[in-house]
Order: sequence, then C-alpha cells, then structure tokens
Amino acid sequence: MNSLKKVLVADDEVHILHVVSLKLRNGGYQVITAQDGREALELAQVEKPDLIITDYQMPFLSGLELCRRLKQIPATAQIPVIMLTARGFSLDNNVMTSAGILTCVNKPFSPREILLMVDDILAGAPV
Amino acid sequence: MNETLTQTRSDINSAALISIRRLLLELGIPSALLSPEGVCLSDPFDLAGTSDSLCGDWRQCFTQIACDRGIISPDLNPFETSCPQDHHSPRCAAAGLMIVPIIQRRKTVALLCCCLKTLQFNDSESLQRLCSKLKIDSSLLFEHGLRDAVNGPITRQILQKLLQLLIEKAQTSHDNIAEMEALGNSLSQSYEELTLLHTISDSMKVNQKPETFFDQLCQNLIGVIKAQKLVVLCPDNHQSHAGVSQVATAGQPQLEPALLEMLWHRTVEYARKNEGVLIDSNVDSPYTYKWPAPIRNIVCVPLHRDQNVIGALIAINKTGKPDFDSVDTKLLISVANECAVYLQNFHLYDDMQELLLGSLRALTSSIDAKDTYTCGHSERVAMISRRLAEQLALSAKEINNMYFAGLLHDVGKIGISDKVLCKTGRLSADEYAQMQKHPQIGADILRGIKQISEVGLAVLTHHERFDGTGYPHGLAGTDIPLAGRIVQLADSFDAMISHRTYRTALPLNAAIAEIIRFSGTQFDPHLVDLFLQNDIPQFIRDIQTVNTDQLRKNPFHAFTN
Repeated sequence: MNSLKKVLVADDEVHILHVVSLKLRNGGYQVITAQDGREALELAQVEKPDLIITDYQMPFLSGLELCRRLKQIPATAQIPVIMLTARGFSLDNNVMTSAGILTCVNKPFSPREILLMVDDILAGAPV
Repeated sequence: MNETLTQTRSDINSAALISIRRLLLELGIPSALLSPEGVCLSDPFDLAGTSDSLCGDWRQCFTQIACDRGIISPDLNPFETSCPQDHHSPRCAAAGLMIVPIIQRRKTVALLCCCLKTLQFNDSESLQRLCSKLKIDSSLLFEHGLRDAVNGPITRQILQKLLQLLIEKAQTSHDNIAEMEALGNSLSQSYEELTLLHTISDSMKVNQKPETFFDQLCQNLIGVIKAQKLVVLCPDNHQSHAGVSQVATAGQPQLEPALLEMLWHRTVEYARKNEGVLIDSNVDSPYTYKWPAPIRNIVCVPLHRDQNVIGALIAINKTGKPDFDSVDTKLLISVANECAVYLQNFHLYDDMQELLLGSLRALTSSIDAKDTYTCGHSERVAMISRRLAEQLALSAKEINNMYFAGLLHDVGKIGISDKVLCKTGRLSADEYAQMQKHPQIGADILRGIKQISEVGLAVLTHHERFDGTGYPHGLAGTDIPLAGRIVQLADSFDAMISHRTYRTALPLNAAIAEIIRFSGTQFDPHLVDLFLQNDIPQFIRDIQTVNTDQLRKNPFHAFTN
C-alpha cells in the first residue's frame, strides 16, 4: 500500500472531486480529497501527498494562496501542483513558477488527460 | 439458466453479505446461503474453515426447511423452533433455525439460513459482544434479569428482524456505492465529451482549411469514442457529387478508395431515404448491408446543408466492446452537427470570395467590351502590383488589396466616351483632358464599397507622378499613397511592353531602361529598385501566359500563381 503514490485533490465542487478521484484510483493512485482551501492546507501538511490537484476558486483559501503557503513550509514546498481554472483564465508564468504550479488545466477538462498528466509528473517526465 | 445462477451468485456473495455472515459467525451463528430453490450457494465452512458448532447434517436441515417452505415470500415467518432432524445430541438440544430472505429489487434472490442451535447467551462475554454490536447496554440486561430471556423465542424473532434490517441496509449501502461508481464513470465520460466539443468549437475558424480542421477532429475524437477507425468524407466538388475523397482519418486500417465510395453512397442513400444516421452491426440484429472484411460495426453520420449531404463522419469498429452504443452515436451526431456548421460556413466563405472576385472581373470585362487592351492589361497590372506588395512584405490583406487595385485601376474608363477611348493615333489636348478624368471616375465608382476603400485611393492616384507633375491633383513623393505609386509603376511598365493603338510594344530591355531613366521623376525610386530585383523576363513570361478565359473558369488561378 505504501508504494502507491498519493494525490490530494481539492475542489469545492463535489462532482469534480468524485470524477477525478475515481479516475485516479482506477489509475492506481491513492486519493485524498478536500472541499476547501483550509482543509486542503491541513491535509497537505498531514498527508504529504506526492502531487496536488487544486481548483483556483475555493472557499477560505484560493488555490493560488494555498500553493504559496505550501511553498513556505519546507515539508510541502516541493510538492508539484496542477491548477484547475475556468476557461479563458490563465496565470502568468512567473506567478506559476514561484508558487510551484506546474501547469493550469481549463474546466471542463478531460479526465483521461488529467490521468495522463499525473502519470507523467509522478513518473518524473517533464510536463 | 446457469447464467442466471452465476449472476445471482455474484450479486449475493457481495461484500455486504460476506460482512454480515462474518458478524453472525462472531456472534456464534454459522450461516449458509441457499438459492430460493434450495440449492446451496455457499456453505457455513467457507467463512469459518471448520465449524464444529454445526452437526454434519446442516445442509439437509437447511434445504429441507427451504423446500418445505416452497417459494419463500417476504411476509412468511420463517422462524422454526424445532430441529427437523430430531437429533438427540446435546448440540441439537436448543434447536433453532432462522431463515432470512435476501431481497433485491423486490424479489427474493436467496435465503440466508442461520443455525441458532449453538447460540448460548449464558456466557456473558458473548452476550456483552452482542450487546455492544447492537448498541444495547448489557448491564441493563443483567440488572433486569434478562439474561435468560435472551435465549427465548422472542429474542430470536427480534434478532431475525434486526438481521433482516441489517442486511437490507448493508445491501443498500453496497448498491449505493456501486451506483456512485457507475455515475462517476458516466460523469467522467460526459466530461470527455464536453471537453471534445469545446475543443472543436475553439478550432472552428471560418477560413481554416477543412483538411486541418477535420484532421484535428479525428485525432481528438478517436480517443474519446474508442473506435478503431474514423473517416471524414467530402464530395470532391461541393456543388456536384462527382466523386468523394477522404478529407481526414484516424486509426487503422487504410481503406481502399472503392470502399470509401461505397461508404459515401450508402450514407447518402440512407440519409435521403430515412433522413437518418446509418448504424449497422450484427450484434443485436443482422446486418442491413453487406460489408467487406474489416468492417464489423459502423456508424455513418451525414453532414447536411439544406437538403444536400455535404460530408460524412464515419466511425468503424468499436474497440473494447462488441458494438457502438447509443451514447457513442449521440456523441457522433453532436460532433457531426458542429462539423456541418463549420463546413457550411467554409463553403459560404468560399462562395463569397468567388462572388467578389467574379463581380470584380465582370466589372473589368465590361470595359473590355469597349477597349480590348484594358482587360488583359488590368490582370497583368494586378499581378505586378501584387508582386511589388509581396516584396514590400505587406500584410496578406494589403497584398490582396493591391491585387484588386491593379485589377480595377482603369475601371473609370467606362465613363470615357468611345470616341476618345478607341481613337487610333494621338489624342488632341481636349481629348486628353477628358481621358484624365478616368482616375476620379474610377474612384467615385468604387467609393460605395467600404471594404476596398484603399483600392479607391490607388485608382485615384495611379497617374500621379513622383515629381508632382501627374494628375488629377499633382501630388508628389510620399504624399502619393503607396498603393497609387505601386499601380503607377505596374501600369506604366505593362503599357510599355504592350501593343497600343498608337505605337507598338517596346522590347523588354528598352522598357527596363525607360523605368530606370524615369526613376525619381515619374516613379518612386525605392519601388523601381525593388522591381528590378525580380527576374523580369521570367516574371513577364509567367504573367503573359495567364489568359483571361482561364481566369473566368478558375478565379483563384491568380492566387495560386
């Protein structure tokens, strides 16, 4: 069980959590979920996931703010992040690098592609 | 029959029932699962290894009870107080058999048979455990002297009802989880489709070539719909249905042109007869048509424009499943509708382009009716002007406009009387003055078309001279719009190398020499330098071989040059 990589998925939309968890679990990953930024911050520190997938807009703490906070904590500073954003919205490259965000994905997204992305990132390939 | 049994078996041996049976075993109650007909589906030993709490006749015992009951109905009280075997061994003393019907979807699918013979509540430890599982305070029981009562028949009735409730709840929970997972999968699939449709919409640009658009489409679609092959067919000429070609494809194998023709004809035929999508396979019913070897299942969706079929989207052979399902078909239809819109727009845009160019050529050929020199001349000036614009690295739109400017520069001549226009020999001063009005007349004619307002400017100024001695306004240098300077050079050069009513054509070298001589005075010197960078003899040969009949047949001939 310990050899399974762990992914934290944070989104206030429950159906997205459901779809992504299902896809990743079937893909052989352990998935923990959070429904808001605060919960995500706590879980990230406790569970130390190998990858975080987070929504941008969330209650209490935005996805971006979450990443920034995690960057400041040594235990979680190295965790790569995939950010889910609304269509038409994009983050500046500098902002992304400094927050540890590897890539942004527009919603609605293809669950298949998310799985491929996670496979690539956790296998060490560049995204 | 066997299949139904196996299905039932797997439903029943679900995690829910296994955990219930484990719980019962912990409480000291071995259980077995029987089918409603009395066939043993799983025995008490499969969970416990050996069970020395049961007598060896348990199977017969359970089966007899079940058979005695006939078809078990949910309201029947299955509680049985005596052991039918009538054994006299101490373990059979406190007889008790409890049968709980397992109900799924309002039908009894199995019987859970529990032997309560060994249930002893004299041992306070097992009583404690039972109480904690049922969340009853055991001390209450002891205090009120209920210990012995727990052994009685009433308790067993309660236990049976509790058990039934527990099983129902566990089943429901299990069903819910299964349903959630199914919903999750279905939601995931919907996400894929939504993303696909978004991608298609994003890439629908009206002036994008069909090959590019459909190629991208096939690549994206084949992964989502899980087909072995996707093909997009379009008729070769979108007005007639002479032949059909494969515009884009994804997957394997490559299909022969003859097969593609057949697919096209069947799609069109089916669409015309039934106004629908051709779906064929032999899974639920025999094939409608006979299909050659690689085709196992096929879905052909026609793309409509008004009453015509302007294309077809075809999916062949579902991978991973025996056939395409209704979800796949609906997705294909949605995608096809998007494609039809794109294709319609593309054709309309094409038609508009043709109309525009056709109209402009009609305009210039109206002058040709009077002055045969002008028509071929306008075309050549258009091509020379375009070449200069390309050399100046202007934008695609500006280059296009320069072509139109060259084409239309003498359109004002339609306002000049035949007497002057077709006069052989030199013009008198008066006649010359009249002739000089044609740039203004041309500009006035074109003023109404706002999309080509730069063209009007070129037409107005194509007789201005760099040194300011031109007409109609005597503009000089860079006050003359660039378009005008370009047409001026193109016009003059072509005039020199053509036969005129009043003189014969100059040889090419002489014409070039003239251009150089008047660089800076008549012509913009920068443009002259650019022009001279071309291989002029070759260029002139190229443009002179384009004849006007060719152009009327294929308006885009000029653009592909």
